[in-house]
Amino acid sequence: MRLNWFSPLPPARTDIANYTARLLPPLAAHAEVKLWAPQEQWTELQRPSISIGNVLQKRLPWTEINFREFSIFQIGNDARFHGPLLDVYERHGGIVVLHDTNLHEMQRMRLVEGRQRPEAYLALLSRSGGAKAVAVGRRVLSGEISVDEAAAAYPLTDSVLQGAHGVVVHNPTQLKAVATRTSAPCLYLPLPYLPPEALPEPVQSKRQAGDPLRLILFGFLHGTNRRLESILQAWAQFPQRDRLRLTLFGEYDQAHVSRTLEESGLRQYAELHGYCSESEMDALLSKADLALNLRFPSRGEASGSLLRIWSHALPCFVSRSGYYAELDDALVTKIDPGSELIDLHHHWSRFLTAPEPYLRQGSAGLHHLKNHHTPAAYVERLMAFLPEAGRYRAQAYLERWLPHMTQKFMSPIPHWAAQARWRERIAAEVASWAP
Amino acid sequence: MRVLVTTVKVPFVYGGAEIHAGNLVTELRRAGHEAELVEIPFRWYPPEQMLDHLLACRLLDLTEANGVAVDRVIGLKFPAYHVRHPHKVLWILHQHRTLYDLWDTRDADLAYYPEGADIRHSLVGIERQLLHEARHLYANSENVAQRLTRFSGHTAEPLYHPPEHAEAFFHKPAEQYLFYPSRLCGLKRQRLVIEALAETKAPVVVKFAGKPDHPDYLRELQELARNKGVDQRIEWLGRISDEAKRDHYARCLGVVFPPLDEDYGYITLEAMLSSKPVITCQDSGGPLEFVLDGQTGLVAEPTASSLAQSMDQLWNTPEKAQEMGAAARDRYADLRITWKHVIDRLLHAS
Repeated sequence: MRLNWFSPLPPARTDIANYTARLLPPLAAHAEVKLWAPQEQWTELQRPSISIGNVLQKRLPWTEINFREFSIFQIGNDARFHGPLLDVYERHGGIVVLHDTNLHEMQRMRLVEGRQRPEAYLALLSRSGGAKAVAVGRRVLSGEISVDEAAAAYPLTDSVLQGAHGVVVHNPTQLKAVATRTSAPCLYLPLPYLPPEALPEPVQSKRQAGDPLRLILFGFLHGTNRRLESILQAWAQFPQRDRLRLTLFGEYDQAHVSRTLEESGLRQYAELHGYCSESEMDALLSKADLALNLRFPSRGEASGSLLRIWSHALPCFVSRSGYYAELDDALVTKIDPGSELIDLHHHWSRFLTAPEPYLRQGSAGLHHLKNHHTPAAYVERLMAFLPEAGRYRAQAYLERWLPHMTQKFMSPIPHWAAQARWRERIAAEVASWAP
Repeated sequence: MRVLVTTVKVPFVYGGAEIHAGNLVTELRRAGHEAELVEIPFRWYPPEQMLDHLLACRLLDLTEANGVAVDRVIGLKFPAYHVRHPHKVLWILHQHRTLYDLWDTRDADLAYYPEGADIRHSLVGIERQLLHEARHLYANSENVAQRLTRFSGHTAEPLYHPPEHAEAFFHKPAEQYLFYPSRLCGLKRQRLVIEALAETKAPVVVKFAGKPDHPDYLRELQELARNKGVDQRIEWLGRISDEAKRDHYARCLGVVFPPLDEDYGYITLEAMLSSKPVITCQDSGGPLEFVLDGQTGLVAEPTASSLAQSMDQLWNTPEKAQEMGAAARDRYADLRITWKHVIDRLLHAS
């Protein structure tokens, strides 16, 4: 089997690049893989059998892409990486792996900031929710409301579902939601992490009673959904605030955070880092006692960060929202978005006095990771899904062609009723082509 | 019976398919039927046009004309053979080959478009479904029937028909040249013949007749012949009249015809009618249904060296060439390739 795998690759600053790197060994065992990356440079792979091309080149070699049986696109919420991949997907079609189901911000960045085509962004909103959605889009464009606010009402997931041969999600709660919006076959797969033998040796907290509690928060922390501002505020108001330490790394406004911490007198308790390599991340995580991995509002994402946290048997706080709300209570501590500050204070206090239940969660998380998130199992299930997606492909293109074709031929027909009759006739004819 | 023959027409292009459709209508009329040709213009690029054209064909109503029922529709080519009719039979000249046997080759023009693979999957799936509508499926040759089974899962009965003016072919004593009459294009592999010519040990001469699909292609072939040092042993006749063609068939030592996976191949039949042996290749498709290796012609491997060996063999043994030519003429007679048989089968399919 020959397949195209469209994804960012290391050293791109997205965990989806690491996800692909983790999957390559089992993928290469099942298929001849060609990687297509939205970047011009990548970390050299240890697998010479896998070749790499970049999708930024002016003329893509379509024959090479077309002659491979399957094309699998990794779609996340960062337009820098996924915008160019989506450009290819929209022309070529394929199986989409949705790392996030809320694609509003990605589409806005891609169309408004990238292509400078706000009308294309509004057209997507129009297809999603008609005039009401367009009005919301205009308010986003004028800065009246935040993207998060608009994204909650119009996640724009549909924008990548039309024409998909199959859809893979990493979040079981999103499976049903996505399946109701497409006729393409859908599959839930637990996000893969490293194979058990490659996991770092977990170091559970050697914290003694009375020692400060070392918190860690990392990843792409821009925007409100990672709750950075709320966490800093909760910390500032926490009665035992001088017993907490915080390590931050990833992408965020470091100057702004530093200033906020200065203002609340907490700067000396915080360690701020920028983007870190995987080994640097693991080194920092091994020194922490508790990870904060809040997400609200949920963007329908599963969390590679959570898997990394579990790989260190590290206790973790998550939001009682989206994917995280469905997790077993034995694995994580859930913070209610409606009482975030109170919940954080409550659990920090308890952790300081009686850490055992939290430490047990960390151990259970590691166990869960080893049993449910191996790359080999992920690839096997994905391969088993491909024939089903392949069968749907014949219909998938018709979904893209039919609206385009009816628009092209119907527009000269002046009377709306005649148009409707023609549309019905054509739709019935095309429906009769399906097996 | 009132019979409509449906096919597609690329405006300003006239070739074997057009001749074939016209002959079928003529022979239907000769057999006492009312017959008309319905030619639907066709463009296959950009590839979504194929779906547009398919839909256009499906929206046509050919069940009656002027209030009188049309008794039969005979579909010949994609997508015209997908018109709706309750008594439709298909006599498939070939499916749209870039969707099937030519996919995954450099001739797959469809694959140069981003959406090419998706459109191919759609059309293959649609065709598999729509072929069920026909009362009976016939194919132009066993080769076309086999492709239909392989790619679309349908069984078709091969139905051979005579080439145009079959009765006019004749035979004369052989002169020292091999004849290759055909359109000049990649699939017909004139290039392979030139490369083989460069590897022959005997001073083999080849006369090519036919017009190039693209003028550049003729220039490329001529340049190749010069580079290989065989241009003096090649004659480019260009497009010739039917009479001149028959005369060349009659006077040649043998016919060389090594296309890639030909559907049917009038050239083989015309050579047989002229009592001439045919050199073809193992992957040439239709000709292999008629050429018996060593008896009515020679079947080479599709390489320059193997083809050269066969050309040398024919050149060096003219008596054997004559013997194989006579056997080829007998074989044509044995196959009972007649229009009467074709029309009986097409109109009386259940």
